[in-house]
Amino acid sequence: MTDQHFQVAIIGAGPAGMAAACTTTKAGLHTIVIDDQKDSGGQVYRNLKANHSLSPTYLGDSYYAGTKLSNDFAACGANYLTDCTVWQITNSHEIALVSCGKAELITADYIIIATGAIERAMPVKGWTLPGVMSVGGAQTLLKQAALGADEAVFVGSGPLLYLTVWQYINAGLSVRAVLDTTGRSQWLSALPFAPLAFLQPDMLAMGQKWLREIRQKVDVITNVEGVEIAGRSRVEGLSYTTSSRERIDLPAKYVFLHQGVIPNINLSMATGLEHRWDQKAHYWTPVTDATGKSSDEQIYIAGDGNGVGGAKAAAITGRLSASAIVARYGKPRLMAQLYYKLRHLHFLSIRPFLDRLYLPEVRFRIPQNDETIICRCEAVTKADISAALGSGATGPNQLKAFSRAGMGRCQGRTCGLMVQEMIADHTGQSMAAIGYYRLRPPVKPITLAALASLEGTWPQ
Amino acid sequence: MDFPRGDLMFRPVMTKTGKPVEFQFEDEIITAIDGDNVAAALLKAGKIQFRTAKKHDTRGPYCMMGVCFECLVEIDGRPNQQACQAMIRDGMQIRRQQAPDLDGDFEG
Amino acid sequence: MATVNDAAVCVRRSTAASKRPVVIIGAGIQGCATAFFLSQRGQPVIVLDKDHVGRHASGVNAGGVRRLGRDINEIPLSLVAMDWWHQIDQLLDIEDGFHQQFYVKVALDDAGANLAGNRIQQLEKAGFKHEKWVEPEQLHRRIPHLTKSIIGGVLVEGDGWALPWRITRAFYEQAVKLGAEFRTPVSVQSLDYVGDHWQVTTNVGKLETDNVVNCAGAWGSQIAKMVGDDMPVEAHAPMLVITDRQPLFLDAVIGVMGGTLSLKQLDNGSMVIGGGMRGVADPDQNKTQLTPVGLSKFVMTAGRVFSHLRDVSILRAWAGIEGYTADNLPFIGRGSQPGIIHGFGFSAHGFQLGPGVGEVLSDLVMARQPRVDISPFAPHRFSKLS
Repeated sequence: MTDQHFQVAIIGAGPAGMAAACTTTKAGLHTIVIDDQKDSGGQVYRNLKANHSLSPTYLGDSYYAGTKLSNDFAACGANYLTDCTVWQITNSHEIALVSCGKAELITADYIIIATGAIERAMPVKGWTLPGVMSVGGAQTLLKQAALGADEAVFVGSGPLLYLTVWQYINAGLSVRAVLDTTGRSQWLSALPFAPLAFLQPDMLAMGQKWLREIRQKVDVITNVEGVEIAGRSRVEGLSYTTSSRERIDLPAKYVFLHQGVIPNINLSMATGLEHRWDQKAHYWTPVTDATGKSSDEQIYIAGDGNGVGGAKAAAITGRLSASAIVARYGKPRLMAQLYYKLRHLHFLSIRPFLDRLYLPEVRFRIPQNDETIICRCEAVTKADISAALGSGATGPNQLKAFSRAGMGRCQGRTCGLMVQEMIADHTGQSMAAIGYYRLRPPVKPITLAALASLEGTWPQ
Repeated sequence: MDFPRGDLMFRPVMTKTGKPVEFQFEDEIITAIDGDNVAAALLKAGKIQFRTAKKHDTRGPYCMMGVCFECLVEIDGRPNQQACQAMIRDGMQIRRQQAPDLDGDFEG
Repeated sequence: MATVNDAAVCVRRSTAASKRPVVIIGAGIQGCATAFFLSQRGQPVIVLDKDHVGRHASGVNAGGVRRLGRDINEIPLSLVAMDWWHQIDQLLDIEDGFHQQFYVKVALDDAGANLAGNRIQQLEKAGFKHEKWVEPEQLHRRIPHLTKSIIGGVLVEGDGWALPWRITRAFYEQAVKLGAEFRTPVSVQSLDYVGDHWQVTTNVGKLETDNVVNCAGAWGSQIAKMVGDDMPVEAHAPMLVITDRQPLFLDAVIGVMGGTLSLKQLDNGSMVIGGGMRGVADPDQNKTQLTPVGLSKFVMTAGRVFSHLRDVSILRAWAGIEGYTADNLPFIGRGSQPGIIHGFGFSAHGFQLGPGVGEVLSDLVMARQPRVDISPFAPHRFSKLS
């Protein structure tokens, strides 16, 4: 790369990052977009360009809704680095990258972190067996490689689960069953917010359509509890309890799990930005103002990484942050900002309903079984965590040292909230008081040779 | 166990055109399509066991977006490659990744 | 250094008020070890820490247990500490607490070899023979993966490493078993001499004591200032990285003559690489920041010693906040007022000294003469000069 300094650096090329780049480049700001995938689109619009030429209909309209944004981004003129991991942002706004095994430092006046969301863990017995995937993972295979597995069992809750099942049956795949874990208490707490959700009639209608079409082809079993996956070195089947307390065994080779998505806060936390615990949505989000400006005046957070709102809301928050930055260069765009704010509020109107409906009950947030693995990387079980708590670990970081949970390659992305909630359970403290793992660079593992490349060539 | 559709594995749901590439997984030669990632190419060939975390603890792809690090394999002698992020190339040599100093427990 | 007079004053006071527990400020390795030795000798102890046991440098240092490369003035204390390390398992009721191997600082070039030669000569003159020159052939035989370009090194047999967090915690646990009381998180706001004893004001109330031991590490200067002692330390954050697990290939700790590196392999195969490159410390906020260029410097040095590690991944990097003195020697000794004892400023090489420091500080509290000369660590050595 020849340029080392940019006015705006955007990390993530999903809807928020793409929209932000369109706005900053239009205002003439020298912009770079850095993404760790091969193509823009993030998770929601993954592989959109390639799929567009083939136009498989099974992915649905909500997927192709990203086409215009994706095209605008491709034409916007921002510098765009693909396959590139950001592993640190320093206090002086140096961004440390690694790309093709080489590390590099760039700087920017303003940074927009748009690293999206990840799936909430659904730790049931046997969830580490090969053949168990997250629903997001199954959907990615469908979008990216046009691959699907017949007779899979979908387990959990949330819009992405139903969208993926709908895409599966539309692609001609047979689905063995959908085991919906949404409990009655979730419906009860969500119901008061249903009127607000009607501000998004098209989204509600889309959900209804998916459900209707799914029910015509697939067994949808509701109020499922006690899910356990069996198998020795791969999935062989699963069992669950129905609402009438019946225990059912089901043979299966593939099981796809989902319990909603949470902001991906690893980069923003490792950067030392302030975060707060959102008790209603049950996750951590960065502390920001309405434009996404974080506790560091130069850093903005846009998209699902700043609270899950979905693809359309993400794009709007990208524009909001970007136009706030444009304004700081003395080009205020007040009308545009007002418009984005209203649009954002509109998109968020369905969230109180969805957040309550699809927040999994505690029995699906922490394992019910002592042998169930919590930290997949280090193979730390619930019993191991309980033992560490028993021997006096009082916080997530101490617990890390006691049990090794969170010390593996994924750096706590999977186990973080589970460990935190087990501590809350044990000590009676609030989730906010307990806090999260102390995250540090590198945000993703980096090889010694790649890191050393800032200094020179690795010795032979 | 009763599986209605015989030996189930991930299958293509539409015809994808592309240059065929050949790679090696353990001792097997497998054909894939240029542009697939390593995890997808392996899944399509029915391979779902990618590594061991420890003895009797076999793992395969989980999140497919680079977050979970469950799909680690050895590619061309380099360990710890995320199969869901690496693109398949002609002549690639891929091996399952064993937890150090532990016996593997793979079944195919 | 303790004078006869000081000792006499102290004996009188501790006899008069032996019921009042000693207050130790700081629950790092030095504070925990001091609490342990005092408890073992029957002295009641209360340890206060503004965070928790082993939260900063004591919990997250590189864990080197070495006599190699120490300042000549520090060697006697280091040797006393090593006696304790050799019996650390019995002392702390743990298993494999100390991984005794050998420690070698390799010479990468002639400059390194010259440094090594001078060092060994200097030590011999002072009567120390534990550091020895090794020829490259011998080094390659003992560490087959070493890069061929190594031209020798300085080696100490029997040095090794320990898990810092585990050892600090074990001192804490044994001290508690022997009756020591730990109160965390409790921060000290002021220290006032009232009549014939000290009043310790904390954010959760007041304590009375005859003896205050200041083991507050990077925050030691602030505590010293409360009792009128000017003992400057600078806070820095030495950085470390840990790698994923590799097949076991190394049973030694590796450094570099004239360079910044310490590299070891843990039992589980992970490697810990550090060596003193500093990140940015913010002791007021309890925060550290890693510097990418600094990290890459010592990782590159690791590559010059073991080039086969190129594809090994770094999983985590961190830095602990540590207090450095102007001459990189710690402050160990009595303060200017009675009943105050200081033990901080270890300048990132205090972990191995821990058990020795615990012994010495508890000697000072109990008015015993320490086994080693602590005059080079005099608390007022800089203020005297000025």
